[in-house]
Amino acid sequence: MKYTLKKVLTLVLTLLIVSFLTFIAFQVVPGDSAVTQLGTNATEENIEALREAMNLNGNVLVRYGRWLSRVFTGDFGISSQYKIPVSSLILERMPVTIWLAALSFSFILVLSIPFGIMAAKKEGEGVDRIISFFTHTGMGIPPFFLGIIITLLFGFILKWFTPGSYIGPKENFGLFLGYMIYPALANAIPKAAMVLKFLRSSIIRQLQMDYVRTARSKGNLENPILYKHVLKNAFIPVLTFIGMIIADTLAGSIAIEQVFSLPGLGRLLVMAISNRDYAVVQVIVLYIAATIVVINFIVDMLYQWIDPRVRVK
Amino acid sequence: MKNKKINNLNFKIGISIISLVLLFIIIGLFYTPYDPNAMDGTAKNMAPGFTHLFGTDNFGRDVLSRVMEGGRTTFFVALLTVAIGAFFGTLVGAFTGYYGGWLDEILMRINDGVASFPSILLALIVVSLIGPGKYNVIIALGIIFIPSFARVVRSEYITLKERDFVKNAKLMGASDLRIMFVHILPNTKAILLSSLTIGFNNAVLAEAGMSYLQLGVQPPDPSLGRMLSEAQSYMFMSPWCAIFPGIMIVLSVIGFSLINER
Repeated sequence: MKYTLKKVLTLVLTLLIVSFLTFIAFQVVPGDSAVTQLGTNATEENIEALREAMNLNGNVLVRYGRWLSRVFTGDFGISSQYKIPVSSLILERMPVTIWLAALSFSFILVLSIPFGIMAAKKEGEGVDRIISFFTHTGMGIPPFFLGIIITLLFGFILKWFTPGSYIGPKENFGLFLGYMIYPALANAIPKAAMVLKFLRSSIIRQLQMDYVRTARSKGNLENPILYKHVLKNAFIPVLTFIGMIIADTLAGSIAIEQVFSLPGLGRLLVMAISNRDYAVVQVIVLYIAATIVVINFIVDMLYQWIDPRVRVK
Repeated sequence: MKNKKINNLNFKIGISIISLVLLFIIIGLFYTPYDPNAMDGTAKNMAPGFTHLFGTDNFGRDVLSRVMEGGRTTFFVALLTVAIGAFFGTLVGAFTGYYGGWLDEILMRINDGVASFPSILLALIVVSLIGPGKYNVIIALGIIFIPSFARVVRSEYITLKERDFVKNAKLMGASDLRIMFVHILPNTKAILLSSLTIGFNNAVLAEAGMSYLQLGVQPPDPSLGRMLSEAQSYMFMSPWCAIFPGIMIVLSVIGFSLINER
């Protein structure tokens, strides 16, 4: 209980720090953005009104407080490139990114866990060598290049899908999922390779422990030892690693959305950066950062659930 | 025993791949078959053949020459990035690990915070503030790589400072700075070397990703990531424009990760 309370407090504090840093980072932007937006011919009153609307008045702390309270009410300001509220831009694009991340994550688990266990079981044998060849290759391919290869192979050569023919989830959910499989695969494979490698070495380390030898000497069979005892322990370090992988999956979608022209947050972020649309950049960065912090918190919670030793400490 | 043999093999394959990639880049320093930026209207989208080994792109530029140049840019960015990260990371890690105390606590908390964010996201934030371009990417990635080096070096210093050779040096009257950089630093060589190769790989991937998003290296500098993003729009016609620069990235990353397996 004390552990949980402490973690919740840390979570709140970290979120505050992250939001403050996100806010501060975009305060160093040179020039007066109100003047930039209205041009030099604007009247004094117009500039003053926009400065107020863009939250440019007052000292840093005052502005941060105002910004934070606006963020809580869902008011993120107006996008300078689209001239519409940032919140509606984000809401429109969020589902695509969430679906991409969820599908990628499922692929990561489905690909890494069974093959990781298999490789660890047959350590040093042919199967393990083949899997290790694929993990090395998988880890070396940047997701966006894999995306290009997938487009080429499944899109242009095999014609399983038409590249660029994205359909929104509201229009036709089946077709949407059918299209999303490919970007999700491109995003997932390199990360699945990393998780696989990590899981394999974690299982192998556990298999050398004394408790495994004891279990074997008592006449237990290999499979029950593996599934009942070893896996539970082997997953503990993997859990932290998976937390990092989720963060990576979110960041990876920035490039993947570009490859498959998906209208998600990542694509919006890249557009906003090239157009210096700071209101949008700020919110997306805050969103991704907050998600990562929350995921780390969930990982910590899961940790104390599967590893009771943490609770005692 | 068996395992050692496999790792040795990995190491050899890794070294061979990296030598190949480096050879390619070094030749590119002195000689490229064509001018990488020269456009030839009569030779657009040519498939790989004897006149253009890797084919030509939409503007009739020679892909082989561009891969050689682009590989050089990518390696240049990655090397400087890792150099910045390793230099400042080692300094921070050495001081915090050796002295400990409240400064160490604060710096490590910040470190943990930064480390939990994907480097490409952080680099994009920095680039959105200072603008794209080759040197800005180096600065952005360099700063972001500092924490990972600092963390590794710090943990080495924490264990090494308790060792007898350090106590011995202290008794001999060596100054703190001398102990930190003459006595302890050489002992972190092994772990530092492996962080360097991992860091180099991450830098190659991050640079390629940012240039792919057109927020990294800007034309006329050719870069592998940029080539990939340009190749995508006419990929059906000339897939080789995407495949060769991509393979270049993949080979160098796999090469270094195999070396690191040892």
